[in-house]
Amino acid sequence: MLAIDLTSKVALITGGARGIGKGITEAFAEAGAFVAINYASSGEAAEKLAGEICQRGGRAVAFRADVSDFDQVKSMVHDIIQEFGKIDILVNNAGITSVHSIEDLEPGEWDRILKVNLYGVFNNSKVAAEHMVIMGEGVIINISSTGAFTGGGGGPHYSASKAALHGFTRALARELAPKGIRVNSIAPTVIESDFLLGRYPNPKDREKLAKQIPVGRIGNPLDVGYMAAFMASPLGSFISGEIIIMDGGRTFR
Amino acid sequence: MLLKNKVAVITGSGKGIGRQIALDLAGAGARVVVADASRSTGEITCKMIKDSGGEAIFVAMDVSRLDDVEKGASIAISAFGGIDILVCNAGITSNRSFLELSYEEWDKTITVNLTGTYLTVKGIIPYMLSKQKGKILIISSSSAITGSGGGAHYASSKAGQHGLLRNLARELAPRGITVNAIAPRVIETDILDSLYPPGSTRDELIKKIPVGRFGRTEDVSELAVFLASDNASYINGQIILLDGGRTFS
Repeated sequence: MLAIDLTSKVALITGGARGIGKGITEAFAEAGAFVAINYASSGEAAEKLAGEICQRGGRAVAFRADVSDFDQVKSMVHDIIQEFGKIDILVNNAGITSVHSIEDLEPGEWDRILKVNLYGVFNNSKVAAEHMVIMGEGVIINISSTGAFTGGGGGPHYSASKAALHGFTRALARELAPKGIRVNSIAPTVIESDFLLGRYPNPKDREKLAKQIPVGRIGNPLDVGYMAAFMASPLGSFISGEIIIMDGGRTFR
Repeated sequence: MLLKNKVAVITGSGKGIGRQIALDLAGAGARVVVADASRSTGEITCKMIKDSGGEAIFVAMDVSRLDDVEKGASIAISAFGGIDILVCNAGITSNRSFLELSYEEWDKTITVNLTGTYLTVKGIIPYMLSKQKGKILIISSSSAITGSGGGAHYASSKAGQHGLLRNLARELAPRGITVNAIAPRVIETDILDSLYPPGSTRDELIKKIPVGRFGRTEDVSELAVFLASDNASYINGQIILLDGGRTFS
């Protein structure tokens, strides 16, 4: 049977305790990977998720680091390598947003979003890539958003930060593929997460939203998780520098 | 005169593509605000415009500082009474592999190219919103799509501009302002000279371009004039890849 197999691969999932990140963590664990679950403030959720995975016979450990802080990332990656011996896969998933128009968006808020969504990806990739280059192989997956194409998702700061990841993905893929490292991106939208539930608390509104999506439903974090696991596995070994839109057909309908 | 009596602010117009855009917008009748971090080169652009019968003023502007942009905008308003066209062109690059790229160089490139674009729009948009009319043009780069052109720092900054553009295009169009971008690839400027010093690699490069030549700064500026004109009023949120057909060949 054709199956996604990540047995004994070590994956770092940033923001891996909640929302889309949790879906990615669960998919990777299901595929046999050892998972380092990064969190900034969701320590309880991260420990709980790691515990559940270990109970099912998998291996997962929670690691705290604010991805926007280069030194914290460096020390986290060091700790992960101490724990698991290596990092094969980095999934840059941690991200934040806020709702602003250009007029009320202040420079401080622009910086806050960019520091997590864009600089955070730089920080993790920089430290992990140095390690992967020595190993001669690796996979980096950047979780962006369709907001990069549509301008949606919160405001100018958010869509700029997510679109920047696409340039980052293409540049890194170009440079690192000859060193055995593949870099790709997934651009999801309308995935059932805390963020979406916060924005659409009423089930009726969520039903209305689902009707706008050609496949007729809101996405599940596992949808993104399965795609990321596929991309990270040998099955995805010819995919490099790609940006996959995961939206149930909504964006270009 | 396609742009008669329009007032245009062009950032980074002290040299290269920015200077050519300033010259051609002035040639199309616009009154030009040459905004640049360097006074000496900016003043030369102004003189070139005035020598050919156009109107221009220089404003000192470091796009990574909002107070600089706001000051420049108010000088432009005092001189010309309004701002109709904004061309966000100021940018920097360096040729650096990701493994050698320092945090500082990454931060500087993102701050000037991406945050600088946001700050420029932020500082100037109130003058367009008050008239419910305006054109914003962003000079990005094919690097956003291909990842080439210097490294991850540059490609990220340029791709980030595309996300910013898509948001602004949908938020501002209902209020009379359109936002578009030109993404040039291999234009003959000093940046090209630094990435590809004249010689055999340059000859190899030309062979990859279906139209058989490098782009000229005029290729960008002529498109900019069109996009800044009312003839382009249905074009919004678009990124025009100006590459001689290379990227998707």
